[in-house]
Amino acid sequence: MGEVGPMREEGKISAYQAMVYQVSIVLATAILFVPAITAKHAKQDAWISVIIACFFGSLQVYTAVSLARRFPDASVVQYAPLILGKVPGKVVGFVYLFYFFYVGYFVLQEFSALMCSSYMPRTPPIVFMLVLSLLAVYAAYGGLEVICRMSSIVLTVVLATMVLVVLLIIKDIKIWRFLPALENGLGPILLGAIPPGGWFGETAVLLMLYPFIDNKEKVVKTSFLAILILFIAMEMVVIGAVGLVGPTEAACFLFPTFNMARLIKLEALPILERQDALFMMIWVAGMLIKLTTFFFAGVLGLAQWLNVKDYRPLILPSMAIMMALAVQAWENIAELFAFSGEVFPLTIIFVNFIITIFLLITAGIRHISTRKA
Amino acid sequence: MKRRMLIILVLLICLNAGCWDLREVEDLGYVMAMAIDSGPQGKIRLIAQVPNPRVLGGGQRGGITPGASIAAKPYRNYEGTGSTIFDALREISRESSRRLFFAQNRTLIFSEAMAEKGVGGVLDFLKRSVEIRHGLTMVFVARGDPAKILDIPNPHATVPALRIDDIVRWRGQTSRFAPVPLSRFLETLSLEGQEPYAGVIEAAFNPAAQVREGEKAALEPPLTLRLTGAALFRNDRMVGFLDETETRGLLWVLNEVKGGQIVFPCPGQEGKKATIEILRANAKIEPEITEDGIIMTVKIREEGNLVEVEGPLDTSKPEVIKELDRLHAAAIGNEVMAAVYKAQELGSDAFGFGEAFRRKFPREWKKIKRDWPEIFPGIEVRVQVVAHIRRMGMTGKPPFLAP
Repeated sequence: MGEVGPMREEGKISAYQAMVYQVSIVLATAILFVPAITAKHAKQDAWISVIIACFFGSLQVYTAVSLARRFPDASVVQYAPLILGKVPGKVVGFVYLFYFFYVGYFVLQEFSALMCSSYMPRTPPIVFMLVLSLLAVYAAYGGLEVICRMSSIVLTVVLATMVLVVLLIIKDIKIWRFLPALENGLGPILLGAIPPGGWFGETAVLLMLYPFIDNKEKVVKTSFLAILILFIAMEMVVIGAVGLVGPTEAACFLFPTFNMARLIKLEALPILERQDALFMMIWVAGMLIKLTTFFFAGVLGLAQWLNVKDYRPLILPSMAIMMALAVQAWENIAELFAFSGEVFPLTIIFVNFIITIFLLITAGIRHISTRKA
Repeated sequence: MKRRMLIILVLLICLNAGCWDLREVEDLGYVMAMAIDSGPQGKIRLIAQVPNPRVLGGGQRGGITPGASIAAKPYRNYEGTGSTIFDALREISRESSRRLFFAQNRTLIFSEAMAEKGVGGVLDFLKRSVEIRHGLTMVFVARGDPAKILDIPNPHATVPALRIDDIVRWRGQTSRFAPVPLSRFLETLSLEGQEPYAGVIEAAFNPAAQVREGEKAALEPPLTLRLTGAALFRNDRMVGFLDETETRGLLWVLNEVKGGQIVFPCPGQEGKKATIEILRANAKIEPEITEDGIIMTVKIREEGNLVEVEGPLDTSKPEVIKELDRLHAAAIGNEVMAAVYKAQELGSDAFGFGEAFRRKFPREWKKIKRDWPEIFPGIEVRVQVVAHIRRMGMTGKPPFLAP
């Protein structure tokens, strides 16, 4: 076992920059898919599902923070062997870093799915994947500080545009589409809460970022703030999509948020109609930061797992593998959607919650910590 | 070195704009209206109206007279037949010099035959297509051949599709026809306790086209476009029409009355009438379960301005206004009841009474939802209207009543 400590200088980020990272890593795909996936089970109560998911997400991020605090100078990939012993620890570490690549190639596929379905059907999907991943590679070379600063700018624009889109449809949102509440009891609502709950759990990326954070005492606060921002964003699109076309239709569309942007109708100001392009902008920018954050966390984890001093030589090979995985993974959009609704949330909950809490409990029982008293 | 790289990159942006899906505006034929008819042997007949920008931009008054040459027409109606709607679309493309583009389409017309056969299959295509905008496309059922309707000349809005669009825009002038956005049509189709409706469009005789004595021939076109009433559906099949009064009855309940006129008998003198212009209205359905069955109470609040009084009424007196309030509330109630009776007769719950019931009594709804089509014609509907006249124009009394 080598000594545990931060790798070659990756820069320092503030707790708020970590928060931006946490929000970026969840936002883009969640806002696009959350209405359809939750409304499928929870129908008009999808908004309640998001509240429940938010609590579940808070629990997950709190677990992650508790674990990270025990090892202030290392990432989870580095200290998992300390907790579990060398071989099991390395296995768990690999599960963590593979999770980042796994979501990464899932994101690539989702990105090309929407771009090909709605904007550019003739363009081969590989082009979208390539363009996005090259940008992510470029950002990864820049390092953590660069990614955080880029995300702050992009995120501000994305959130502001989302608010604008929702403001434009707010007059067409009808309260009666949310009635009757709790028509089929709690079961479907809980079922609908699982996928967004998984997404909220992605904020556990903090386990990788923690050693680089400057003002560690603020992390609990900023993590919950990240959850809150995500909660507001998800509620906006869920209430928007369900309140605009009703739960049955919202569940039926593959990209309800995209449809929501298309349904903007202002007879007084037609210039503000047809905001597909605006939505496309949010979507591409959001997906870029999402991919970058996942990819960077994955490459960083891989370097730590291999005990390599610098992660940069691993960037291009990792991206090549990710692209290959993305291309072969799903044959058609039906598979992709079935996967993202049923399999995907459970796998990410397994990594972000089950493994994390298992590590936390084991570390607690064995009194393992590198924190200076 | 860095600067050279930058220049190359900027140049690359110019070269790479648009990718594979680049489409030039000049290459697109913007479909402004499409009509879907059922053809022989289960085929689908499609009409797509594409404006001709050369004539539109040239300021010519094309298409006023039916005999005008095709070159002067500011639009072209492409017509094709195919086994499915997409098949028909691609058949049309063999005639068109431009790629037909549907994102600007605002009018969707089903022929009566098509609507009666069921529009579900066609709707699937419209829902899947990324070019069709559900919020901007208005759904209609045509009485008569849609090809004929889409070819009615007019000097003002020379493209019939644009004319329809404008008429829809001013629907609040009467609220006597019921255009519905495709998104809403699809939503009501997906609901268990509500059936879809659509506007009705027809080619009507143009009263201005009469040949008067001593004139050679009318310059007016013989037909005119008319948006009138509503078509009611059960699931995706049309079951019948509402007339104009009944249509507004439906629109009252659906909260879609944006304005219009109410004419009712004026008190004081037999045969005289008074007219109200509707300002705003608001309706609510309140379901109840009683021992005798389900009762739906429709509560409507309306505000309007008095615009015309024929009888000798001193409208400056508050009690007279009260009386007029009562009378025009009754007129609104009659419109609603006429619509309800007709819809119950046709067996189409376009009002969403079932949905209102589901929202209030979700448990009971589960028991009866399967039988709702049989229950709906028998439910009791009550209407309570509170109507207020707020203002009365620039005069307090009719002219002949001045002291």
